Amino acid sequence: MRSRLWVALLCAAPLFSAGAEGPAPAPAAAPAPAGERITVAVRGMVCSFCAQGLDKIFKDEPAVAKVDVSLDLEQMVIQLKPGATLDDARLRKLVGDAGFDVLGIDRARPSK
Amino acid sequence: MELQVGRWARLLSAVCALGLPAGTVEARPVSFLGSRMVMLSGQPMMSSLSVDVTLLRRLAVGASYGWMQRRSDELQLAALDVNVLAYRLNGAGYQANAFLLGNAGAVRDGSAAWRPAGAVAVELDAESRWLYGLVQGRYLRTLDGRLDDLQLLARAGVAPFVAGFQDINPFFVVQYQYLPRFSQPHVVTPMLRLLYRNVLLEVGVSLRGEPLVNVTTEF
Repeated sequence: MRSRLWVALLCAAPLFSAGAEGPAPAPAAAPAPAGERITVAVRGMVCSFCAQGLDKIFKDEPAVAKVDVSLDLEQMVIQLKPGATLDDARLRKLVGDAGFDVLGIDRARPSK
Repeated sequence: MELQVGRWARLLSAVCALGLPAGTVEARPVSFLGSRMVMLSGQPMMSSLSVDVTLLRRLAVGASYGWMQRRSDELQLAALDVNVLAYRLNGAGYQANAFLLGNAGAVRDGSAAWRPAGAVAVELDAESRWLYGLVQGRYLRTLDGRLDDLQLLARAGVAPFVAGFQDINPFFVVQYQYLPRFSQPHVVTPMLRLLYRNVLLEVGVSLRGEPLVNVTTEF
């Protein structure tokens, strides 16, 4: 009885191993081109409630894909959409509209 | 016990009735450009509701309604608001502001007719991630000069820990109100101030047991 079980398992093993491998993987999709990443040092951000405006204003900006606000670092990191631009003057205006001041702007352009 | 229940019932009824013109102080009266802010402030002797829109970087307008029970009368005020950010200092780890606030509307004393009235206020605040302070003086007067009211308020607070952007940000705050036309002219209220995303909640009980609830949201 035990030997029959082993035989059955050995015969079924290729089925399990084929299932584990699954279908041949599709060729990896090319990574989406990243937009420009801008780090903005912001003065005056002291509470999460007040800084919500900064988050909202930049998320409403068409060129912006993602915003990360850090109270600890007193900065925000903006990820632009691929091909989009946001010049310094516009950045300063938006930060000012939120009630804060820009201390510095650091741009990391995407590698091609 | 009945007295306590009565106080809570009055607070609840005042909040539900959206009674009010006392100034709301829980949040900055000029917020980010384009924002809309709703501030509700409730205490047994006064409550207020204001809805403001920040039209310019330094200007918000809106409307407010308030109610207050003073020593010798009960006032209601319905008014239009003009809030001006007169000065702002964005420093390293702190922000300080000076606001000039104005209300123009009408006041009613008990069941009497509404009278044209206005109020002006000056508010100064300063805040870091772990310290908070505010002073405000407000003066209300009817056009005919028959009624007026003066209120002074000061706050000091400290955060038990420094919170992140998406964290609940608590402050322990002590508020002092000078209300010379009220039956109790000095009111000291320890409170908990909680900021979370776009909601600000303040809950406290005065040293005489009077509850305080303030709620603000902006969007």
